[in-house]
Amino acid sequence: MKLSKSMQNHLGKIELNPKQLAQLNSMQQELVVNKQPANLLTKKIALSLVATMVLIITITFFAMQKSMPQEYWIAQIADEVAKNHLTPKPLEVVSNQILDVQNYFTKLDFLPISSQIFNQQLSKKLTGGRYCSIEGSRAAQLRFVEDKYNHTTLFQTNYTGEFSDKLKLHDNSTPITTYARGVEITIWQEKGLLMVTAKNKKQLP
Amino acid sequence: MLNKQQLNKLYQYSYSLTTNSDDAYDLLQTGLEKYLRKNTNNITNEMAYIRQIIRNQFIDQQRRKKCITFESIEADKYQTTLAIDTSSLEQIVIVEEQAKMVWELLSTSEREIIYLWAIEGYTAKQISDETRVPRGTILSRIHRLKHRIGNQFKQLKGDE
Repeated sequence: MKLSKSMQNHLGKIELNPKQLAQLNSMQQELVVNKQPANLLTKKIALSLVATMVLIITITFFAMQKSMPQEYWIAQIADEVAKNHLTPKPLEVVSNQILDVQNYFTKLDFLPISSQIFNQQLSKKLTGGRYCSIEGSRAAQLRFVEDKYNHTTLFQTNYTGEFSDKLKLHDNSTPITTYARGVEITIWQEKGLLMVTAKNKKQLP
Repeated sequence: MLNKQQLNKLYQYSYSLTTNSDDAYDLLQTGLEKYLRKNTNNITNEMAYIRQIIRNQFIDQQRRKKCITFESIEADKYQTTLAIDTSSLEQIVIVEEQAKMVWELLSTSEREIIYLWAIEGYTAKQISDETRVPRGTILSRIHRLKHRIGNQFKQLKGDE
């Protein structure tokens, strides 16, 4: 008899007894049948936990933001506009006519205005403007010069919605003045717009 | 789930490694449990995969006992050019009663080769792929195996 056939016969006699077969089948039943639901259940629980955590973190984040005092938001806005003022980016529209500049801003959900409160201040000359943002909201940035050393940036954005929740500014109320990064920042609300100016006053020695 | 035939084949494979039915059953049970607990969705050859688990489990057990009966792969590295294959084993003819005697003559790695060749119908290349032992090493083991069995029967005939 060939070696392969005799080995097949020899090993063929080695078989699991009924008790061993029953044990192995029972183990398979237990592990295979319970495996998938267990895995699915574990995955579902893990996903639910992650989703709950994300939800809690998001709610906490927004709740904390909403509960922040007005001073916090003024400081945040002041710091952002001061930074923009100190590192000016190129103007997108160059004109000393407010109408030209107003016509340029077509992608805003508000119309930049010629501020009466701002105009009461020292005589300034409009040089142009560009798009920017304040606290993630689209804004218009208008630049003015007083003289060779002093210039002012006026930021305008929509007050209604996000900013009206953070700041309690009444229309034409007295502007709030603060400082950030050495720059004088003035904030007020005018005709439904949030107006912020950043002014550097360089003094000659 | 594995059926009776598949379980018996794996039991025979475990027996090829251990030469003891109780140890073979323990090895099969442990290997099967490990397999069932794993994520095995992408396994294409289930039986080969379980044999691999059983094989690794067996080697681990032998290492723990510090009595590795597997032949060193290094020992065979200079014998890789023998012009033989599993077909040479077919030339051996024995009577059925001698099968048990032959089985007891073999080392663990030789019994594994015999199992994969005689039961699974594997070629030297397929044995090499499954056991991750170079094909040349498998061939040299077959060569030694053939000579050993041949010599044993010559001796037996001489004794008669």
